[in-house]
Order: sequence, then structure tokens, then C-alpha cells
Amino acid sequence: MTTCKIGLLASKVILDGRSNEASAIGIIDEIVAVAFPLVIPAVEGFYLLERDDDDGDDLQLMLQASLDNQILFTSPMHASFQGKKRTRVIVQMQGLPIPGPGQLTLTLLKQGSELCRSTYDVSASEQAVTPTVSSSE
Amino acid sequence: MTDISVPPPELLESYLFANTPAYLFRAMTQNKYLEQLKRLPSESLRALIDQIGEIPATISQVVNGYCALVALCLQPATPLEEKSAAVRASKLPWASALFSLAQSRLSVSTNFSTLPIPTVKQTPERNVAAPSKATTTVRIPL
Repeated sequence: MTTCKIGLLASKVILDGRSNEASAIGIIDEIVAVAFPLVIPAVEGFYLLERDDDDGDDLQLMLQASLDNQILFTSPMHASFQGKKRTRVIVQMQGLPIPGPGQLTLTLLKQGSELCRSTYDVSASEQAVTPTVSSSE
Repeated sequence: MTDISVPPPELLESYLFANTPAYLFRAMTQNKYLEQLKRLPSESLRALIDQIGEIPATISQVVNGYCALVALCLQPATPLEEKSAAVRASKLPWASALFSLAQSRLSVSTNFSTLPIPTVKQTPERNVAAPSKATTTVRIPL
């Protein structure tokens, strides 16, 4: 059975080409916005999957995002263990649309069964953020 | 519980027919006997590996030595130094190649996916306080 050992959402996931180590920058645990609808321009998911020896090498996965009961998108993904026991899936979402406040849920599915589910509270900021400009003249 | 001193006959056959370490490695890792060996403490596996050099070994003992070596190399909790020492001390000719194959299996592969921007049918909410021409930001609290 394939299991998900780590699943997280971050602003950026970086893979070191020399050491093969992965780093997550700006891990997202909640989302606060001043206006809706909101589109987070770039967000990346990191999933570490582990399989049993009986499992196949290739995986057909689905990533589903939903806000409360509204499905925002469902997208297929392919992953290959390449003969290894564990594999990473680094997925870049080129824009994550969030129509309003609620609970955002990202679910990684394998043939309909849930491998990983992560939830994030999406809320509206109580006060608008206004930029301040200082001058040194 | 399987007797760990007697490897299953299909592994003996695989050993006799094996012409490359990769073939033997694949045959061993597909056999449930190896899963049982992986649960043994590393000291017991070292003993199975080391006995090959001490006495004239039978085919069964050689196969058991190979299985113990691969099981030891595939144990995630055993330190790399201990695995390397077992490989160096081993009298088995394919020990080094099997160690490399096991190490490559323990490492992690990486898959990259890019999802395009999904379309959203949504009109802006009116009751959310926001300045005109506001830049929408996501704040990540510490």
C-alpha cells in the first residue's frame, strides 16, 4: 500500500541538485487576505510517498482542491518510483484560486483513495493593509 | 515463522541462474524471505554474512549470506558505516555491487508536476473591507 509520509504546501519548494535535499520556503499554514476572490500566484506542494514492495512503479494521482464543499479544481498527476521505495512529488500550482473565506482542503488521491489531506483556514483580514511610503528627503 | 538458516528453494535456483548482481538483487527483493531477514537485528545478519569466510560454505549458506547482506543494506535504521563495514569484510564476490543496488533503492526519486491555472467563476464579494486598487496579499504569521 502506498502511504504519504509528508505533505505540505509552501511558497517555494527547492531541490538541491548537488545533495538531492528538498527545502520548503514559506510553509503555508493559514491564509489571510484583505479581499476576495484571491489568487495565490504561485504555490507548491511537496509530498513524500512510500510504497510497499508489492506496489507498482508508476502512480496515477489526482490533486483536488476544495473550499468547504466547493471543489475548486481537480488535476491528474503522474509519479514514478523509478525502482526506489520512496518518491517525492513536487507540484507547482500556477495560481491557486480562492473565491472566499472558508476551509481550504488539498487532497492527494490515488484511485479514489485518499493519500494525504491538508486543511488551511482562509479568513478575511479585519483591516485592510495600506502601504506606507517614507521619504528621506 | 520461517527458519532463517534455510533459504527458500526458489532463491537457490535464482542464485544458480544469476549471471549479474542485478538479477540476483531483483530475485531476492521480490521474495518475502528477505522481508523476514530485514526484521532481524543487524548483529544476526552480520553473523550470517561472516560465517561464509570461516567454513567451506554450502550453496545454501552462500545464498543466505547474500540475502543477509542485502537485508542489512536495506535496513533504514542501520547506519551506513555498519553496512559498509559488513560489505568490506564480506567474502562474497558480488557484495559491493549488491550494496550499490541497495543504496540506490533507499534513495528517493523526485517527480515534478505543474498544474495550470484553474478557471474560477466568481464575482468579487462586496462586503469585504478593502481599499480601492488594493493589492491582495497573503500573510503567513510566524
